[in-house]
Parts: sequence; C-alpha cells; structure tokens
Amino acid sequence: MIEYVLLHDGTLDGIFTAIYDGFALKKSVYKDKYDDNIAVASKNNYEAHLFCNYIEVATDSTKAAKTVEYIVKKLGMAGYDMAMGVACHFSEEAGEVLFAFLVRGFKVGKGIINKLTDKWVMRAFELSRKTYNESHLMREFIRFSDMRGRLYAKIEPKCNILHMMCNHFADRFPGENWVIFDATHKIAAVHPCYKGWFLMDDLDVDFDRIDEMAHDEYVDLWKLFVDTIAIEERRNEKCQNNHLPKWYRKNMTEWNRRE
Amino acid sequence: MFGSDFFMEIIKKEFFAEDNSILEQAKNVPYDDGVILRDVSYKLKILTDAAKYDVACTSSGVTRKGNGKTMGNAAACGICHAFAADGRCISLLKILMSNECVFDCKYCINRSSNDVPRATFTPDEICKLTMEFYRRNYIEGLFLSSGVIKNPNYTMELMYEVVRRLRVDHGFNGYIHIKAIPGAAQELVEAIGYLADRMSINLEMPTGEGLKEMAPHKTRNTILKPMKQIQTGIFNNRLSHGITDKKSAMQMRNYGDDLYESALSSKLLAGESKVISENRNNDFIIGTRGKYFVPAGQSTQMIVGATKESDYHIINVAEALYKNYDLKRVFYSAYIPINDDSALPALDVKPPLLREHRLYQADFLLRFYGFKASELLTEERPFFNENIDPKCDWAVRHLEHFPVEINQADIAVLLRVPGIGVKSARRIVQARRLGVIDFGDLKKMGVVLKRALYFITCKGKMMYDTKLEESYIVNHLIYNEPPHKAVGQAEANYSQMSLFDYYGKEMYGDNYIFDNHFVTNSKATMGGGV
Ligand code: SF4
Repeated sequence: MIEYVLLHDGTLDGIFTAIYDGFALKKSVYKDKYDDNIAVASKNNYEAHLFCNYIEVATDSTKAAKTVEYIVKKLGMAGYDMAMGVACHFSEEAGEVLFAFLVRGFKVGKGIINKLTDKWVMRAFELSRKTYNESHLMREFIRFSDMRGRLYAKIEPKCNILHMMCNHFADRFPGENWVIFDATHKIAAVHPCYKGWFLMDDLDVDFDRIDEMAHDEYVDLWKLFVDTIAIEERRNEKCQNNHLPKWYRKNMTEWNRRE
Repeated sequence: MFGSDFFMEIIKKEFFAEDNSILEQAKNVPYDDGVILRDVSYKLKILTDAAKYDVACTSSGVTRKGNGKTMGNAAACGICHAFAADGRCISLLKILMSNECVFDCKYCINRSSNDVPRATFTPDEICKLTMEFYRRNYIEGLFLSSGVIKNPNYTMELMYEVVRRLRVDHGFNGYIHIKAIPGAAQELVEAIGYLADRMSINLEMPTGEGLKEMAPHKTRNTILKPMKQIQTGIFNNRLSHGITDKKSAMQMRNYGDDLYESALSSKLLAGESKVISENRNNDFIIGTRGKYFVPAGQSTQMIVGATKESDYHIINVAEALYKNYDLKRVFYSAYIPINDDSALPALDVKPPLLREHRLYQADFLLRFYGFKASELLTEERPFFNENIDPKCDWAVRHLEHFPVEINQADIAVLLRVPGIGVKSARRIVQARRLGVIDFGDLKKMGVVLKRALYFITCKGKMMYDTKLEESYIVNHLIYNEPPHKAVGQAEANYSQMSLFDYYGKEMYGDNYIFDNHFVTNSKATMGGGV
C-alpha cells in the first residue's frame, strides 16, 4: 500500500533525486518494516489518492548523480539500463514499479534482471522493453528537415526517449548542427557540429512557425521516391500498417501531405 | 553547464526567431552546386520506377561506428526507415544509375526494345541525393544498380565513380550496396568491392536454359564468374582480418582513415579515370589499398514464375549458392508481367506471391533450421504445398519423428518442430536447465502453440487429445480450428488464410523477407516461428 509519493519535475535529474529522497525516507520512516509503501511520480502526471502523502522534491543534480552511480554499482549496466527504461516510461505506474524494482535490486544485486518470477521485476522488464522499443522505432522513423544547413526534427514520443537516441545521431552526423524537439516533453537535444550533444528543457516552441521556416526541397524528392518505389501489383496496406504503426506517422515527412 | 554559448545563440536566433527577416532569408537561399533539382526529380521518378522490381533493400551485415569526422555509420542488424504502400521496407535509396540499356532481357521493363522514358544520373546527382537523404534520416545508404550503357565496363566505371566520390570526396560512411553488371571486367568488380559494403549480381533465372531464353545478352558464365570472384575476395579479406568463420557480421574499424590516406592518390587519378578503357591494369589505387572487401557479403536474386522451373529447381539452386558461393542472401522475386511477349506469362497473370512466400520460408529452413533442399522437395513432388508452410508440410510427412519431448529433445530436433523458431528453441534449451517446462511457459518463450501442439509433449503429455495423423493435422492447420473443436471442413473457411496472414507478424514472428525491421537483437529474431 503506497503511503508516500515523491513528486518530481519529470526530468531525469528529477526522477533520480526523488529516488534518492525516497530511499532516505524509507530508512527513516520504515526501517525494516517496509512493504512497498513508497513511490515516485511526476507532478505533471499522477492521480491523487486520499490517504497518501505527497512530497514535492527539489531537483538536485548531485543527488541524482549519486543515485545513478549507486544503481550502476549495485545492479550493473544491464540493471541500470532496465531501471532507466522504466524511469522513462510514460505510464503512471512507472514510478511505483521503478521504486519497487530498485528496492529489490539493491538487495539482490546484479542478478535482479533475471528474477522475472517477481511480479515487480517482471513489470519493470515489460515497461523498460516498451520504452526501448519506442526509442528503437523512433530512431528509424524520425525525420530531419534542413533549415539553411542545420538539421531540425520534431518527435512526439510517448516515453521520454530523446536522450536514448542522441548518441546514435551524434555518431552518425558528427559534422552537422542538429536539434531534435520532443514536443511531448517540451525538451530538445542540441548537437553543435563536432561537439557533444546536450539537452535543453522547459521549451515552448512555435512549431508552425518553424515548419514555415523549414523550406526543404528534398521533402518532395523523398515523397516522390517513396511513392514510386512501391509496386502497385503488390499493394498491401495491412502489411504496411503492421510494420509502421500509425502513431509514428504524424511527424514523418512522407506522411505529411497537407498541400 | 552546457558550454557552447555561441551555438546557443544560434539556436535562439534561428529556431525561436522573433525577427521576420530570418524567415524571409530562409526562403530565398538558392542552391548553387551545379546539381539542378528539377532534373534530379525527373530522373528520380524514372530511375526509381525502373529499380523497384529489385527485391533486396537490406542494410545489414556490417557494423561500422562513425569516424567522428564525416557522415555515417552502419549497424549489422540493419535499420529500416520507411514502408512503401506494398508493405516492403525502405532502407536504402534504391535506384538505377541509368535505364538506357543496350541489353534486351525479355522480362525487364528497361529492355532496349521497350518504348519507355529513359534517363541517366550523373555521379554527382547520385551523390547529392544519397548525402541529402541520409542526413535527413530517410535512408541507411545507397543501393545502386544500372542498365547497361554502351557496354558493361563503361557502366561499371561510372558506378565506380559514384562510389569513389561518395566514399572519398564526401567521406560517406553509411551503407552502400552495388549491383555488379554481368560481363564487367574483374578489376572493376574488385575496385568497387573495396568501397561498397555489399555486392550482388542477379542470377535472374534458376537454370542456364531459362537465362538463355530470357536474356540473350547474358550467360550463366558472366554471372557466376564475378560471383566467384567476389566470394574469393571476401574469403581472403576476412582471413586477412583473422576471421575464419564465414557467417559472422564484420566489425569494421578505421574505415574512414584508410580512405582518406588514399584520397590523395585517387584525386590524382580523377582526371585520368574518365578514360574508358577495356584493358586497364592497376589504376584503381583505392581499391587495392582498401582494408575491407565487400564486408557485408554478397547476395543475389532469382525471378520466380517467368520461366518453367519448379520450386524444386529453385531451392536446389539456392542451396548450391549458399554452399558453394557463401551468399548472405538469395532473394526471390515473383514475376510481374510487364512486357507483352510470347515467351512470358500473359499480362493478366497475377504475380505468384504465395509461391514466392513459400520459397522465402524454405530459404529460412535451409539457412537457419538445418534442412536440406532434398528433404523439402523431390523431383516427383517439385512444388510446395499452397495450403501449409514448408516446415509443417515436412513435419506431417515425417510423423515418425514426432511427438518431440520439449524437456529432452536436442536443439536440432526442436528446430524442426513447426511453431518453434530459432529464438524460442534457444530459450527452451536455456530454460530447461533451471526447471521443467510446461505448455504455459512455451507461449512466453515465443512458441506458436497453435501449430506446435500437434508435434510436442511436455513432461510426456500432449497438450490436447490430438491425433498424430497426417490428414487430421493438415486439416486443423489449414482451417485454423482449435483442436478441441470439431473439424470444420467447409471450403469457405479457406478465406481465413488471407495473404495478410502470411505476412502477419503473428505467424512468422518477425520478418523473414527483409532481414532488418524491428530487430532489436539481430540474428536471434530472424524467422520467428517458421
Ligand atoms: S541488363 Fe537486362 S535486366 Fe538489366 S536493365 Fe538491361 S534489360 Fe533490364
């Protein structure tokens, strides 16, 4: 039964600060009588319950860094990746699952990721798999537009996956200035050419205006290519839908046919 | 914290601009690199249309990290970027360099005797398209094929020029697949091989006679010779990197550096390389200095249904290609009647998509499931069953091997059970070290129980009270009836098996035609539960 919910600001630093504070709380309030009473949640995305205490957490990147370090030390890289996958999932329960997963992980150690018989670990496994799937698909389906030599892309992912995609594109386009806007989470990844990428948060972006600015001639060439490459005699929309979920299409160049 | 204030300024200004003049400017930037997009657009339509019948569009087989300087990297599992209306994945910019072909292959839309619009890209146009599509994340790279301009060598020299410019002048580090032209000189194949990731040369027809009938300008020899050359080149090159097995994906290092070193010498060459000569000796300096030869391996393609060859012929040829030529993939392409020709199926004949599909399934059985072609078909029984897939077909004709006990059977035996894929077979073997497996667990491991249940036991028990009898199992498999219900023999039920079922993920796990969509951990997921 959840008695305390630590509310963070939805950023990665925020989540890991809340975890840090959560474990401090667990130690001081419950000692060894703990029975999954603590969860973390984003203050923008939670359902209030009557008998629950809500504590707002002030994001503190030192605490967050310590938490990450501790998770890596205790659970190994694979365990950390799984925790990260859960932390970035959009569902309301993710915070509860993450906390429960870490409580068990800190006890069990590196073997935790295989302990799928525990229902919390199983749930963590499922959530994190969904997150990584989305990040993988987004890597394929994201489209950049050229704005006077700079690349710009807009995505609307359900999970907070922007940071998971950036190494891939930094490796692939080292000499480009590129920006990816995540309109769902109002954050952006910025990559100045030949430098490391970084995240910017709290963005309010007028996308219509940007679309207006992006006047990219290759868009038409690409649409022409996609239309022409299909073999009419083999038309198979079901198969297409199966491979390319409609959800992803709204920001894909070739599906964007306003004119 | 982030540094790079300068760039922040740019971002603020350009992406959150208040100032309208920037908007105006953005719209008025002219392109001034000599490539005229209107021409490119015209050619792109013709040369994409002309290339669309080629099947392979995978970007798999090689891992190459970015070099930190120029654009591009590659992932062995392949990355898919879009799906066309026919459901096929788009991974590469698949175009012909030219369709101004002097050959007259009967089955081909570009044959010289056809009256179709013709076009030829310049190397710069292709480079430009590839680079610009790539940086927008539309594609993983280029798949370049071509009709024969003047003669095979002339054509291949132009193709070489495209790859050279991409790799050296543009530093392109993404995926390149080049189709070799039958009859081109060895030196050209070699030079391109050191710059491309994958090469292929189409076998076109399963038999030499079929080829003679259909492609008067090609011979079996002009196809098999370069295929052999590429195979030998790959083999020796892998050995020089200390790789002795023939299957593993190549992990490449220092690719870019290597090319830059030789860039200079190639620049010196550039003036001269315009000379088209049949017998040049050692002009392709980059080629001989390159470190990797066709690192993503070789593939080929056969047309199905244009000539009389049976499935038996086709899979035997495929088997020989895998065995004797170390091919990565053999692709099958259902013939689509485009030319009115007495030697070909009539124009209203539907492309044999189901047949093509069965061949792909059989191909997977050859590559991943330890089957031999002779086990699947014989001269007396030369075609696959339309109603059930080749693995089920084999199983019901070999019921003496079944049922198989999940908790004991060897992995090679598990692989032969319908509904058990490579991945699930591996999971079973792993899981049973820790405990006893029951039917409930199988489902979680990805086994397609509705097909497997007729052929397996868990802890000595069948799942339902089913009969180990050919006609009984076939009926259930075809009509998709739950085994505990009455067998519905009504013909109408056949409609349940739409083509979508064949292509559906549910039946075949992941993808079996294109080895690269949705594959997070590459090899293991291929072919799911064939
Ligand atoms: S060589 Fe034959 S198959 Fe190739 S483009 Fe020319 S006519 Fe077509």
